[in-house]
Amino acid sequence: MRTDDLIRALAADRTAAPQPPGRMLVLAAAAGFALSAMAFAIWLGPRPDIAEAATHVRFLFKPLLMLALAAMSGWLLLRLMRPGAPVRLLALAAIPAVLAVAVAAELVTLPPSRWPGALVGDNWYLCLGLIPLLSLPLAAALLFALRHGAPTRPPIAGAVAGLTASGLAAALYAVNCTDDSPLFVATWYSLAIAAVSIASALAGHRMLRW
Amino acid sequence: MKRREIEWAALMRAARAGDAAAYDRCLRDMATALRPFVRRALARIGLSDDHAEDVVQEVLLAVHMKRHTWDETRPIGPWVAAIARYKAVDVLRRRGSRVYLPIEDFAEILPADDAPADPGPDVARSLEALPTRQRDVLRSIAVDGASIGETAARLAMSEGAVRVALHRGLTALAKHSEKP
Repeated sequence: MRTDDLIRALAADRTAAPQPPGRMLVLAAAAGFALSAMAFAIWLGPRPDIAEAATHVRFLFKPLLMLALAAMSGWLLLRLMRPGAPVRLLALAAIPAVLAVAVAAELVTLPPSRWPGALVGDNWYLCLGLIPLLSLPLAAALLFALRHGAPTRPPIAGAVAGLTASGLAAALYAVNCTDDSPLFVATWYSLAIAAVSIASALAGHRMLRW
Repeated sequence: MKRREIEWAALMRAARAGDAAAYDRCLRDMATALRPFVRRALARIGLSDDHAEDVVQEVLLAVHMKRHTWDETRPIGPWVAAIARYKAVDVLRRRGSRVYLPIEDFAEILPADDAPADPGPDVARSLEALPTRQRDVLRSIAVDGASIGETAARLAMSEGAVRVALHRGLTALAKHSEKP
């Protein structure tokens, strides 16, 4: 078929164009979050002393930082779906920067003898297991929505989808988690989030080509 | 913004509002702009331009299938350039060459304001792999230049069925090229 012929066929195809990619992404995130939140409510629920904890900055810092991570990477994801849109991945560095400040503050205020205990915490294995589990429906939904867009860098789009998913999942998990030290967050939350993002980048590499 | 870019954006908006003639013009003009730039990119990595028209067609198919990803508030040039770059790398990779195309090559799609129209060589993008119905419909509309109505009458199908077969055929052509 000559190019002229192909163009004639393309112009004759009057099927309605698909929905704007942003709408699909928001719908997918909402659906995935609903699933994860339901799983959280059924099997985990908030920690017993949530009413008291919610008045402490040390506790609030965790879900808020994770929500900020999810919001920033979600915003980048909207750009990554559209070819040629400028994407400032470096903006994400703000999250580890804020975390580093919190870690520094913790090291200053906490006597060194208590550092190891704060770092290892009580539930590091739960953190490592549950954040990826809660990320699963979210990451799947986001990757599905990305297929609807046109990411020109599939592995990066996949990784950022993983960050968005694990950010939301970690925000949920943080409500249950009783380890409030920034040392704990910087270690175990980061590990869990990195694992999800790497897996999601690999999935993106395979799934997102168009 | 370049004249060509403003024109494409206007045509694309008209196309979204249902103007098929504007869409046709937009795609033709994009093909004209893409051709020299694809040839240049191929030449730079030492490939003959046998593949150029293949890449151009691939880009047009992608522009069509992903037309909803252009944000009307943003310039259309970088959007087309990013799709072209992605598809060029993809086609070359499938040909077995590991390539890196510098992004600057693709920034030059637009300046070709006064490039002479070039109809491109007669390339046979194969319809053979398609199911019979889709192939017949595509051949009738694309190659013979028949309308949806004429095609429906000729193939004894309803117009709705022709539209569906056309869309599925094009989707299959675009998908087919995704395979390694």
